[in-house]
Amino acid sequence: MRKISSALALAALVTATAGATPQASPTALLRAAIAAPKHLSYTGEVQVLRFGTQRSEAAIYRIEHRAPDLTRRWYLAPQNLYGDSVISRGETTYSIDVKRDRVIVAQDDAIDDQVAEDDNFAVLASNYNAAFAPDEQYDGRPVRVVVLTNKYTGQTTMRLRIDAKTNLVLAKETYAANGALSTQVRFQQIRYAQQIPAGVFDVPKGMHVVQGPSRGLPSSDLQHVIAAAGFAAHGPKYLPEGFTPVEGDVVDIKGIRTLHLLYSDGIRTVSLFQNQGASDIGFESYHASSTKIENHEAKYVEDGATTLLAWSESGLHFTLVGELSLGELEKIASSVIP
Amino acid sequence: MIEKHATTEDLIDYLHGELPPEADAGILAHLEQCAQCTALYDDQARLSESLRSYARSSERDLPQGVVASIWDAIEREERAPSSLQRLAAFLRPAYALPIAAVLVLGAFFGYTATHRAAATTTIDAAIYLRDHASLNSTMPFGDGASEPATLRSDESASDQQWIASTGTSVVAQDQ
Repeated sequence: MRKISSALALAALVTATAGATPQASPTALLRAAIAAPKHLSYTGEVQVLRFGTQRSEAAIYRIEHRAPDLTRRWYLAPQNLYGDSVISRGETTYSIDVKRDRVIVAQDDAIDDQVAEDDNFAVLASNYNAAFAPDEQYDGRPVRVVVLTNKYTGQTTMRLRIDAKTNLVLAKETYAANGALSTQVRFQQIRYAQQIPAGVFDVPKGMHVVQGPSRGLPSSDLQHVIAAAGFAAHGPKYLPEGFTPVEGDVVDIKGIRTLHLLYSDGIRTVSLFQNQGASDIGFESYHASSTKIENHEAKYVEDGATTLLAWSESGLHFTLVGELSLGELEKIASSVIP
Repeated sequence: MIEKHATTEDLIDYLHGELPPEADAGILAHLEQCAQCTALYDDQARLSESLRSYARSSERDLPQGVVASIWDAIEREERAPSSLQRLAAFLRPAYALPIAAVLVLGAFFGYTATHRAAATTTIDAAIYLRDHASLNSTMPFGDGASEPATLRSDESASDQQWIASTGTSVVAQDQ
């Protein structure tokens, strides 16, 4: 995965130079949009807004991307990140913390997993109708607008503005279960570049190196992952329409062996974490509310489009996190141990 | 970036992810610019895959005779006096009382120590939210968290050991 063949690189260069072939169908355009960063080099500024129920987050960063997999993000906002940057080199990410004079090195084998990417796109295509909205101009460039509507709920979940000439996504909006705007990502001042110097992506020398989180390739064999949990684990018997098991992993959170199962409909996802033993969940940074899962006390937090629901049952501690309403999470929770 | 060519040993370590992060990054940068080392790397990658394939194809069940003899040995072991039986014989009445007293005291102090050590670990809800966002970023058009968790100024490096996939390195200490 670390390497790309010279033939592919050459083909990519030709494509980037000549402009992308116009895609006839919205689904084909989406597929091309996902692949675009692998053969386009560009610079610009990205604004990310995440609207929460109790708080919202905003970030602005300069981005330099050299195809296929070198990216540097220089943070301009929020204030506590100003001057910091993140360099991604394939599956390895270097977070450069200027204030602490350190580089945090993290590994995520899932970033460049083409098989998973294909599978996840197939799930999306089977659960969402993609349709063209009228073409627009965005930041001085012609864009094609694709709207993704959930086949089961009829709800618009995502709107994408895609560069008509290069197929790069220039703006994206996602909507919560109640229809409210939940995230907005906007690319501005984009400049496509034939070549960005490799030195831009060099990790600064002389800084303190800290080994950060490391994630292996998650397994799509959930039965195998459940068996590896080391305790009698459970999965939900109910999932919203279109949701399917995607991947799982056994992770160590503060020394507590925790099973993490991920389900998705291609855009929305829900995670089920479970562990046993002497652990509980803290809500220091959030305002948690109480509810019940059957006869068990439960706590929940709504953070924009994402809801977290935690409860304990039969000696196990469960936490559901997903871009779903509280009602949907409660239905899933009730089905874990019926 | 490494200016000189990588050694075969370096490339093998790089292939198996055994280099320290800085050396790993250096080899990666060098490979991008050096056709000679890339060819050597590809050779090593092919060799590793061949060895793995051979190992997989060489896996065999144990011959039936070996399996039977192992089961015979297990049954013989079960027929012999067990450790517990030997212990019971040892605990004649003359010794039983003082040993029982020691065991009771040991159990009391052991229970106390164990329960002190097994204090409840509180996992912040933010950890679950961020771990979810991290996996969510692998979905089509998913973009994960707006701010990288590794750069949040309110956390020390040791707080960042929340995620550690099975079978991968789990390090979060200042070097």
